[in-house]
Amino acid sequence: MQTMARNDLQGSLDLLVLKSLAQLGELHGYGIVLHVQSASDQLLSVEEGSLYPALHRMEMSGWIRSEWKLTETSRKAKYYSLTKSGRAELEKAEKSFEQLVKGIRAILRYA
Amino acid sequence: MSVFRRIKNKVTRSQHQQEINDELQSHIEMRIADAVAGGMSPEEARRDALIRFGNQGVVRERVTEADAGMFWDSLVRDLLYAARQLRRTPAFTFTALVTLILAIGANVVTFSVLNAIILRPQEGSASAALYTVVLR
Repeated sequence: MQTMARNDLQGSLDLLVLKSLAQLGELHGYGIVLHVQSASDQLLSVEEGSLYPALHRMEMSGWIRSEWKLTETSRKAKYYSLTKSGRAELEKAEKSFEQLVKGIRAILRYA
Repeated sequence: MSVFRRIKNKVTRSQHQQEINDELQSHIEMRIADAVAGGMSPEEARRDALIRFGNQGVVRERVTEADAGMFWDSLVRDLLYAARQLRRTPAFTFTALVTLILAIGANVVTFSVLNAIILRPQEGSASAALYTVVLR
């Protein structure tokens, strides 16, 4: 049983970030913003300011790791990638999200 | 994140702030570069990027909090874990404690004696009032 409190907006931001990293391997914050926007057909946009506290929190939790690297245009940027425990967390977050959607859908269809 | 990284965050605070700054700045610069490549004027691109990003001061603060908050949480967890491990292995704990007590005790005694005799002889005493007594 999923509680709503665990599936707040912060929870879905974590899911989007973890999934983006799982899909593309290694991204800087700006890359995550771009990916979420284009992969969702411009339906979703990550609030840029809230992304970085979330990234640092997830790094502190050991879900992701970071490394300073040069971009294609030789600019310095901090790249993030998933750790093993991040992969496990992603799986949990995906399941939890499916439950949330199912629950909300059930309520919307209730007659 | 490794324990060393967490400690480093605490110790080199200004360097840590600098790194957060660099990270946010690189985001804004990349946004500007993309906008300019898309045909926007540099000034317009900068303004747009800053607006999209929101209040940098607040973001910086929240990032610092995210790094620091977890530090204390995990420090407490680590200490509790250490205490449990010590209680689980009483023989080791006892040996370690006795070793530390004896070593520190020996050092304190040796230093106290050397300090009084060699390093700071006669301090606080009126040396003019001291005489050498010789038996004839």
